[in-house]
Amino acid sequence: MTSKVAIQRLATGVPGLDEVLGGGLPEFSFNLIAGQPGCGKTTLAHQIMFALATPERPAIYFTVLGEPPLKMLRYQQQFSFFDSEAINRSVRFINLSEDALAGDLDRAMQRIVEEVALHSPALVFVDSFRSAVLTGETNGEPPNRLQHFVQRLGMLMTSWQATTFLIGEYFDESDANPVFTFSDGLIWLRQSVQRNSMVRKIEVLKMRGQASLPGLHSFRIGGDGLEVYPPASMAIQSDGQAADGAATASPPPRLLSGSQGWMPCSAAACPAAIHCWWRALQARARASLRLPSWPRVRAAGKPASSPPSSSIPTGRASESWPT
Amino acid sequence: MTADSSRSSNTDDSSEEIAAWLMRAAGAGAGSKEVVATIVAVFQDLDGALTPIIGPRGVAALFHRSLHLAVRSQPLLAAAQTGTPTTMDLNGLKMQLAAQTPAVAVAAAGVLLHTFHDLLGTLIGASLTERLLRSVWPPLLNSTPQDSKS
Repeated sequence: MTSKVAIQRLATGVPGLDEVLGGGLPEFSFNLIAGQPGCGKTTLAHQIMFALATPERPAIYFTVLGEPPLKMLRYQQQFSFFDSEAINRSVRFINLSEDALAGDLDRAMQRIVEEVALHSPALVFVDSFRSAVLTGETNGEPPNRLQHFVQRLGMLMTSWQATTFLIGEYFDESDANPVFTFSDGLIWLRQSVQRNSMVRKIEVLKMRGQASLPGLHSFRIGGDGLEVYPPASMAIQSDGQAADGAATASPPPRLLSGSQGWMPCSAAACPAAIHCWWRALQARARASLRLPSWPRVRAAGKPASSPPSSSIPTGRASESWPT
Repeated sequence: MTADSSRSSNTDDSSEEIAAWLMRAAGAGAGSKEVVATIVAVFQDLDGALTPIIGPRGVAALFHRSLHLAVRSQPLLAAAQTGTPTTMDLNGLKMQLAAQTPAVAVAAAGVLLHTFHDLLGTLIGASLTERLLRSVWPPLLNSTPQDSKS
């Protein structure tokens, strides 16, 4: 008789993200959230934390040397998901800046161990991880010390049954960074400015144990935090409509098809509305002509009611908008 | 009555309320030594509640800013401003208040504590301030710091 372990998946509380992750976050996984400064890493971490943390499933948020905690608390409160009543009840903030400033990774690890043993969190966040990296570098730590730090942290958190997130600033994904190997999940946030619009994308480069959706997926940051727009087929499935993403299904109101997923588009709210409209028009034309490739397709023939899901590329695509 | 004078009046009331609580906490007939010990204990409790969250430097920065603001109405606190704000050094405050009568000491401490509470409230909001200080500082919870969200 065999009894395989069943990995529970946690709903992140971020609209659209669970679909991109392939069904939520695996419990007890060790995840890295990376990206450039200002791309929404801390906001994503807070949104997930406040969605998941309960008194029975508490969270600890370790602040290292990134954003000063006072400022972080001040700005994160502007999001609707921030719940002051959860602080010190289901969510606990622990500042490790003094240990990090001293450049002692062992001491920082010891503090994490002590706090985890004391509070038994089910969710652990370390923000930001690059700070710990730089601290090690500036103090002449051998590179493998950092590797050991991350490895120990990963093993520790898994054995303590904690789902863990390292929040890291602008890692270069082409690096052979050992953190990428150790982590179970690798979530990359990207942003670029197109004309006068900020275009934000999320990419799940790795999620052990489940099939995440490859490629770049658009997201926005609003008053409720992040909202991810998965490919149309996923959106349709999650809406309980045609599971195969049939072309006969209509897109949700005010959503237009994009090459990496559904984008909300209205003239009032979307500064890139014209581009969204143009891209949707091209997608419809492509669907009606049954042409698989993108772009260089000019609108021709009668547009379909909506593009078939198979016309939406799932691999990495260019971040640039068609002009 | 203007908004400024109304706010100043509320601040005075809150400071006096805190001063009265400090005096009661020190005990009937308490001398300067007991009063100062009570005041220092309150600040140590604040430090204990906030340092794990915002770090010792964050608490020290708040403390030094509060001293700077409180000096306007309590000039005797000027001498308590010591060193660089990397830790909450209470020695200067302790020495300065110990040289005062109990009534003067609690009045100055009342202003300083209220200023600290108000400053934190302007930065992280009244509800989170209340949440963070709930376990260590009941008397101030009756006063309402300026909420940056309101």
